[in-house]
Amino acid sequence: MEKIIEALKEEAILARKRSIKSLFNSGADRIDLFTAEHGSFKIDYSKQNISSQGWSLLLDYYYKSKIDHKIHALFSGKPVNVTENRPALHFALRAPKDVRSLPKHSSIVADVHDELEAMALIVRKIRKRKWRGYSGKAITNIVSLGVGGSELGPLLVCDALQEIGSSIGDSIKLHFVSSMDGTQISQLLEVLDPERTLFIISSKSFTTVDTFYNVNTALKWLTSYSGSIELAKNHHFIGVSASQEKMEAWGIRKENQLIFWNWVGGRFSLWSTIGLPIAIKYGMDVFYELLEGGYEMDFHFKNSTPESCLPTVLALISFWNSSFLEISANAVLPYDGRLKLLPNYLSQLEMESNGKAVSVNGTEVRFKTSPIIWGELGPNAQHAFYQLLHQGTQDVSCDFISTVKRYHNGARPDVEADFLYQQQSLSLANCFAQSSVLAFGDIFAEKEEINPHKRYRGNQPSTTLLIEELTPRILGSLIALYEHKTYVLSCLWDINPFDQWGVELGKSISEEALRAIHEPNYRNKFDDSTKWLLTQVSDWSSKDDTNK
Amino acid sequence: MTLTSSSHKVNVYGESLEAKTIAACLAKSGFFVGITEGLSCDINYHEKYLASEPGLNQLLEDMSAVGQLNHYSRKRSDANIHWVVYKGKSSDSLIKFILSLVRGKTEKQHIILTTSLGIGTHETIKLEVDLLLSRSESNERHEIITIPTFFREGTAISDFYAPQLLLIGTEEVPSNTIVSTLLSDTLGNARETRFMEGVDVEVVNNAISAFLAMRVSFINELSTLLESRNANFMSIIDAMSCDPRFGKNYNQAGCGFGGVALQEAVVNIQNLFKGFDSGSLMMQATLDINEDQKDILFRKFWRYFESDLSNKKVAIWGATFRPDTSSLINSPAINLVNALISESVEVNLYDPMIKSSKLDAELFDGSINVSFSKYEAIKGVDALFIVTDWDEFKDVDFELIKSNLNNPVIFDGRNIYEIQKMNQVGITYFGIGCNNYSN
Repeated sequence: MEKIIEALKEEAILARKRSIKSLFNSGADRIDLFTAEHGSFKIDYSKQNISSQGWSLLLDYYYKSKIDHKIHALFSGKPVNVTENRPALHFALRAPKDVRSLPKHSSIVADVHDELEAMALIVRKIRKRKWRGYSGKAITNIVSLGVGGSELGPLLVCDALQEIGSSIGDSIKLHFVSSMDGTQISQLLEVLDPERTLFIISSKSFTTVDTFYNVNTALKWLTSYSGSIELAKNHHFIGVSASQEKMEAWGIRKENQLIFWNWVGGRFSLWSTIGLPIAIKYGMDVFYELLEGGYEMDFHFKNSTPESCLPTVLALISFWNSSFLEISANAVLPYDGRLKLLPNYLSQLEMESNGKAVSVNGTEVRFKTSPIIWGELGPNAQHAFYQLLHQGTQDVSCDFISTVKRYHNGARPDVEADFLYQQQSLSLANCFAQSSVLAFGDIFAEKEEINPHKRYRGNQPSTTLLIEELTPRILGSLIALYEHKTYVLSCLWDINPFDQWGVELGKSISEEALRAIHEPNYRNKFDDSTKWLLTQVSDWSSKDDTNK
Repeated sequence: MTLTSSSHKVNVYGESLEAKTIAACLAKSGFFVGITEGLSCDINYHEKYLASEPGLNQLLEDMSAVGQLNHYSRKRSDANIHWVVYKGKSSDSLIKFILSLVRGKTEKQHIILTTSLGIGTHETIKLEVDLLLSRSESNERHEIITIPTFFREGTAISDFYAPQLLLIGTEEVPSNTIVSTLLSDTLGNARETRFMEGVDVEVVNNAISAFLAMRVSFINELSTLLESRNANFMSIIDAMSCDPRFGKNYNQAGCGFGGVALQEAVVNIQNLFKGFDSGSLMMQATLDINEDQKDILFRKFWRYFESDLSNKKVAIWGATFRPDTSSLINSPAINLVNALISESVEVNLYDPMIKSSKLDAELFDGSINVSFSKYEAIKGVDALFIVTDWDEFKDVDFELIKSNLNNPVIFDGRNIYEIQKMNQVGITYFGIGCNNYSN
């Protein structure tokens, strides 16, 4: 093991000295070695700064670390989330009904399908416009109140499927509210009709402060019209949570409760009843297709050799870049407007999972772990931060993602179809051109440039993921692909990807800070900087009061 | 054009009230009329409906007896005048049918069309007929005339001879058309007559119906507003009716209009606007308000029981979209039943048409109980809904109603009862535009 790590470190020293271009000139068939495909996905990682020796060392590391055992542990329901002593069974959410349940958790697949059916009842009622508010009018606006995993997954999928046919369109509008400050909810409440608005409270614990401040505002608003808290709660709130007791206690009506389970991490939860907004917008059939796509990726992940397994390939590359080349930034660059939210989604998935410095057994991790992941639609980012990618001083690895079949032959009857098809070709051309210039710099430019301001150094590594087309099923596979990539990465680093202790302390300190905003006596326990900030709030507020 | 009517033969195609009226009246005017079933299409006209048209059956019998009118089961080939009354929805089958009338004819054929198909039908048929002609040896152009229905149910025969408005869609000079001969009596008596291009006649006809639909939606919208303000909707509408500019027709608020005529006219006018600005905002609002109106009785019921509908059982009187038809097309009853059953409310439905089993209650898929008398339907139910203003619902024994109902409340979608009367009897009454409790 130590030997492999040493060899990888030496390989990394070589890599830092060489250019990506030189790898293409070395005679080896990089395309043969560094592309992979499965189903509707093709990956080109030949523009990564990795040699064939380096790649076999990474595979050696994979085998020596017994990653296959860890994958088995995940799928057999072992308590892989060691700090919370529970399994991570999100893959069971997309298992077909007839799949044998895990031995230790005998009824979970059946439980999952029972809950999906409960969800289907609600979905049908809303889509058929039979869900009525307190005054008997049919609901036409749905507001999803949730933050983090309870929001990002459904938001990503709802946005990504916008071109498929089964959308409810404008007849029922779907809104997402997450931010704890009132920006989103106050704007919405101004335009919504309380008689026709339904809120979905999505919170695993059903105590998330951010969400419940929004819930309280929404309930107050509704009650001011309905005249009765009970009527408002009965007809305008659906709860989605792992805590049935908390939903009960808050007053969510039995038939308006949808549950999921403690063994579903928030950022892995879009497959559960957390996906309710998706199902409302596109119907249960589409939701089931999404699940099937996820399940297909699970099957691929469990049953492929590491070098042909897409999640593993992506994980090994990320491991190499972050831990050995110490490239600390990773840009996610979709060339398909429907995947606009994918960078956000992956930021949470990977950084909340693997942004950790302590290994499973509590010791310090010996590598740099998750890079900083950010991104933007590639074509738009070309007019923004690509400058830094091309001519800056930071090393950044890039993930280009593009759908290939779009607006193709007869996919649309409109007169503008041909032009849309040309837009799609233009987008693909830009995607390929950018990765080429990033890797090779200006060597392919028509005339040699000597002005230093106009030179492109190249040598920024990238991976390009081509997706055949964006259907619900393929989208399901895509999301599961990144979930498994994240898991393999955590195994390579030997960290627990399923907890998130790093988001807790801030929450509890904020309770004290909230008190200190209103009560000066509580400010003393804070540092001088924070004390000063707290004082500025009361200064400005009191000025406000005296002005009145 | 001179024709001796006694020697002239006319074919009328269709089996609706319109077709029968046209056939009988033309026969009486001295034409030899053959009435033939036209295109097979869904006709929701009930025989009773024909029979109830004053004088029509008698006239049909008389004309048959004197040999002016004959029924044919197949097309008669010796007539050159064809009046096609088409109530179906397929312009393709209508075109096919009309081409079959002119194909191979060397003599000039006169086609009169009475249809509720969309705007542009006249033009399309004319083009198809001309196209057929251009491929044949003959150079005798056939004549296509569109005449929308110009008589109302109940006064069909007198309207036929002296209509308020006779619209004649033709591209010919009036005196050259067959109409001047065929309808010479009517032309002399009509209060107003307009000869216009075919497409213009279609626009006039549809725009009138669409306007009436719009008027109904406006009245309905107003009723909802006034109700929420506890204003007296009935007296407000009554006062409005006194202004002759506003008038007395189409002033009833209700639980939404159904049937085909208004709905299709609105859609036809909407289609006319396709691609023009943002389409017809008026027509969209008309339809939206009407769809919403069909939900209104259920909402009153929902609020009355404070949204707790568990173990509730109700009766509905009337399912057809209006009285004197067996048609359920676009009827508010469908919306009401669906809303009730999706809340697991048990429903007893009574409609006078059920007795004659003409009602297509299968539409409700066995999810409701069908009753054979109005009083049987209301036994032990928690509420009574009235959806259609059949006469037999207007004359009822309120005491009997009250004693049968588990809970004396009526939701009346046609405002057929007076609130004061209901108050006296002790029935809680909700109409359209009024929400008054009995005490």
